[in-house]
Amino acid sequence: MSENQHNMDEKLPKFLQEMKDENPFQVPPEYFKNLSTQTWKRMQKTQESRGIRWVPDGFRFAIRATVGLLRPTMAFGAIALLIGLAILWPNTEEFGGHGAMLTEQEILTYIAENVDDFDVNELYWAEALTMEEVPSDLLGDPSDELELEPVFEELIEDLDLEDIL
Amino acid sequence: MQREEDARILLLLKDKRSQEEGFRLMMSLYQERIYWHIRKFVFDHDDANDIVQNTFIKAFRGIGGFRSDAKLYTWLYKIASNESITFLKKKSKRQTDSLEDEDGLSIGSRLRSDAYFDGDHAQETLQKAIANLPDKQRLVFNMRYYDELPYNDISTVLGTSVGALKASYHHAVKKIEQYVKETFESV
Repeated sequence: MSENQHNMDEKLPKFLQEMKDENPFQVPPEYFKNLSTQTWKRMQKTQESRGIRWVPDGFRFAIRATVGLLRPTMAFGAIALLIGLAILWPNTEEFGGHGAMLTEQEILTYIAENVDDFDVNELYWAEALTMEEVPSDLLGDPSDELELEPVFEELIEDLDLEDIL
Repeated sequence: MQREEDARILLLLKDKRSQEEGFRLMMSLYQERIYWHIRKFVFDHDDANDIVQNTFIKAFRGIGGFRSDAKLYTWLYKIASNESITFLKKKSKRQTDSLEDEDGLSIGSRLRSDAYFDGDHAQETLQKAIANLPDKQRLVFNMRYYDELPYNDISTVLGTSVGALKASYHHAVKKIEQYVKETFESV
């Protein structure tokens, strides 16, 4: 120890030397006698509330070891699950963003407001559930289909196989 | 002698059937030293009582991490010091959050109203001077001045070099001297 350090340590002002052994603080009677019992009880209480006593040490070790081993696998599984959900989740954009949430009333209101934009024929078709329910005047003449067949055949003959592919 | 007692405590604490005996032995040997160390840092008995109990509970639960070549009391001092600093920081934060100012009282008023403080004006001034020191410097001063711990042990407790501790103690003494001088000059 250097001289300087020795002086720094040992030189105390007179008042500090005189007051050194005084202890102005007190404790309640019998405080130290009961302290270890109080502390032990408190520890037991906190252990019970934590539930530590319910699980024997051997089991606790086994649980910790198992969780420790499974943790990377569980993390990997969780990531795979999240990716799977992200891929398979229904895409509401296909329904115009809000399609899945529209009520029947909203649909009817929309049609009523925009009815001019709809082809009346389409509305008839939409109302019909089967071909029999479609009014015959809307179906047109079946012979028209037959007349178109030769035209289609000609067109197909003109097409190269490469164009189709 | 102390080494033998420490070894006995550690042995008792290792076995579940003798843990309570080991815990009580550890407390009977060190509770007063540790209590006074805490009390002179936080001043209030109820606070010190809470912290001393936490200190021994933490020591008991963490006994597996104690190096058997170390001294048990320096380890207890370390836990107690950390607990005390943490406690005061939390208390200070609570008071800041609730806009309280040390329960509305200065350290002097608190000491005067404390049923377990029996000091005269000089003692009150000394405690106020100690309370004005920064936390770590206060710990160094208390451990050296009151508990007369060797610097090597204080170094183990606080993880600071002996040279730095000596300088810290020296500065603490100077600050206290200055505070006391100013207080008595102003009276």
